[in-house]
Amino acid sequence: MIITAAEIIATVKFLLTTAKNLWETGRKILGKDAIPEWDTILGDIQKSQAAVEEEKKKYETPPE
Amino acid sequence: MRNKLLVKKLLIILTVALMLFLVSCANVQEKWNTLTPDEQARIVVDGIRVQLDTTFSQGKDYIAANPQYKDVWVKSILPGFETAYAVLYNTALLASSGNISPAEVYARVQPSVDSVIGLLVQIGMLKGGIK
Repeated sequence: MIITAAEIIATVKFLLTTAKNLWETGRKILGKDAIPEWDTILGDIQKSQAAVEEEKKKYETPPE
Repeated sequence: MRNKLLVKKLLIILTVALMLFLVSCANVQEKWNTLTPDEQARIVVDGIRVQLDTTFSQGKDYIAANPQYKDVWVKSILPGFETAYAVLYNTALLASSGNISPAEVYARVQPSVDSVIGLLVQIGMLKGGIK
């Protein structure tokens, strides 16, 4: 199995961001950061859904 | 002799770091138990959304650098993200009305998140892939 530099970089990046996310979650639990309200959470998920939709459109072939 | 001393110092530092880590974990657990189920559910849902967002963004970067996986990205991974976000949204709606517990939130959403991450592992974005 050959491990490419791109794979190593992507894996390290993933692990670091996961650690950062855990850190931020810990801060919310400890009360150092505010816990977002449901309206904000639902709005953020909708924004994320729109980003996926946007990405899908990028690869759609235009009708002839 | 010098190396032994260095190893001893390193072991002491690691032990202290481990103890501090365990103490902070215990603090987080203690604080978690004092939160209301609604606060816990909001933290769980928001945490999973952030995890999905960062994975999606890194996936986009990986595909831009490795266009050979474009087909898998379009046919499997993007629909996987769509499903995961849809499940997360519906679960958040249920949780916001207090109809499900924080543990149920996690149990409902995590399988679709794991499924997307599994697909990213298969294309080598994360190690443990099928090369």
